[in-house]
Amino acid sequence: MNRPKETAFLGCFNTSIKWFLAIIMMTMAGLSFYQVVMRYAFNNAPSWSEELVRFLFIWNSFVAAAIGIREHIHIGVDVFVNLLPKKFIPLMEVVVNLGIIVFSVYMVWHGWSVTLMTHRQPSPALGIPMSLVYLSIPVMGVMLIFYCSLETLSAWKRFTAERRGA
Amino acid sequence: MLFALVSTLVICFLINVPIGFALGMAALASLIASGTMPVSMIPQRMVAGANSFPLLAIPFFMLAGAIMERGGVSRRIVNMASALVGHISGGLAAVSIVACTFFAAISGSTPATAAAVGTLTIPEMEKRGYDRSYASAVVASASCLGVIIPPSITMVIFGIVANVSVGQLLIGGIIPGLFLSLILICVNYFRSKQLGYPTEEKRNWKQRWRTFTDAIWGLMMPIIILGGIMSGVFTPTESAAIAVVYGLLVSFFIYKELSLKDLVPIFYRASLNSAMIMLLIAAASPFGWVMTIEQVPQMASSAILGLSDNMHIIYLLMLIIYLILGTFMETAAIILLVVPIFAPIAESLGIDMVHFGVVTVIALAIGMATPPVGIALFATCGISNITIGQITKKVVPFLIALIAGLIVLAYVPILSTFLPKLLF
Repeated sequence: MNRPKETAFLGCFNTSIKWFLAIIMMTMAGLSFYQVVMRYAFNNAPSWSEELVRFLFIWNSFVAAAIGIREHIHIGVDVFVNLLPKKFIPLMEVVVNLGIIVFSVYMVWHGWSVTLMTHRQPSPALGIPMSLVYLSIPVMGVMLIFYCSLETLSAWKRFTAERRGA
Repeated sequence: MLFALVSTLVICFLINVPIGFALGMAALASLIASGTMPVSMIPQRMVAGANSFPLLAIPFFMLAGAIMERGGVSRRIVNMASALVGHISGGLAAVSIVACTFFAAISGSTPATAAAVGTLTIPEMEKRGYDRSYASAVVASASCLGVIIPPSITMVIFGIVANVSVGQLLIGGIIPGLFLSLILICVNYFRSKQLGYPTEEKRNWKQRWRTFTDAIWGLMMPIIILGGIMSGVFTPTESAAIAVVYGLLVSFFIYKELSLKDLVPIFYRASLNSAMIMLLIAAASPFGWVMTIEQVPQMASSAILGLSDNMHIIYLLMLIIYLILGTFMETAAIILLVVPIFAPIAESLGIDMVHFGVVTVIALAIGMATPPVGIALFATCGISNITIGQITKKVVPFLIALIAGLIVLAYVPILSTFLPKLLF
């Protein structure tokens, strides 16, 4: 992977996200196992654990989807782009990342308005405000804008470097 | 609204927007174009789409496979497979296929199966004089069994999208998976005879027993998962959570090959891999909502049903569409886009939905190994450092055999429905 050099701050931020995701995932697995044991061994399944695991998974998925831009996990249909001359491929990456940024701006804006709307709506089992769950969407949006901007810059640099080279 | 939806999706596909974002953008464009629908539908629907306990089986099956792999079970499975089938013609390639079959019962994903087996067997095959592209093609085609033999992430997604029992689908995959494995072994046997690939030394039963007892802790995992689902004691998600804990116990305390330091990367990787699928599922929720109010599924199904009134022709047509989409598109995306249209058609034709699910997953699994785009090809080419072009020529006979197997399985429903009917 030819990633841009990370500043100390960015490296630290990425590492904390990595730990955040790993710990949430461990908690999800641990809670689900606890729930099964309680149900079958003690016939006493806690009502809150299933809901908590679902909410943790929503946060885990959306935060990981955002850092996934940096890790290049998201798959598109690349057969058509590969028909283009090779030097235009970074340019297409710029266009795609700008498109995701536009989408993310909408997600931050409307995700935030949903978060505000659901502030007084308690979740069925835990009784926590549903806004805590919907908050994951604007957070994902902000992170997407951040990581897509970095990707846009690096793709643009590759595009101009290759043009100068040719 | 429909025009905005379809045109945005097509443009996104043309310029290689990741499919999860493409679905979200298409829904966004159509809501903006409608002028009356609130855009806040999208965040609400995305959260609702992700908010489901059965989906937890996806990261847990990924985790269980990754922990077992890192914990040293794949090497033991390869040893056992080589003691079992190493002596037939094309021995090491047959070993790869058998090892993929066993590992498929531990891992729910195709690239994980390809990586677990391929990193061990491809270099070995090359040392013994196999062509590197042939070795990779064998692993790529056999790793498709990863999502056919339970556990299977693809079956979980199908079950949730088409509203079919995930437990029954998983059990339904057992016989077809073994059947396809046998087909691959046969193809390899005859190809290796032609190409003159070597056989390995034959082991006696005592040696085989030793490799079996060494691998037993890994092989117990599918028994726990399947036993729990079959007896109705656990749901698939619960069995997946148990498999994660079991995998940790075995890797830490019995094989002692996993250290605490490995845990963060494994759990982080599982978060990323499941997030890629979860973004698709979340974004497919507002997208599917727009499709439903525009009545796209009804239009598409009446168009397809209008082509012919012969059930077998429609069925074949659906399989062909799966295979074509599989050559260039990601599996979960095909399920989320196409199954909401195909499942009602299959139901109206009177096809058993468990059977239809198993056949769908097999067709899409074959798509993972069909060039130019396929996750099984990418995984194995990454291991052996060859290009998609090099693997393509060698993988074709295996693909033809798998497609022949698919057609048999599609028209002989008993092979996929026998076990689920027996047990549920």
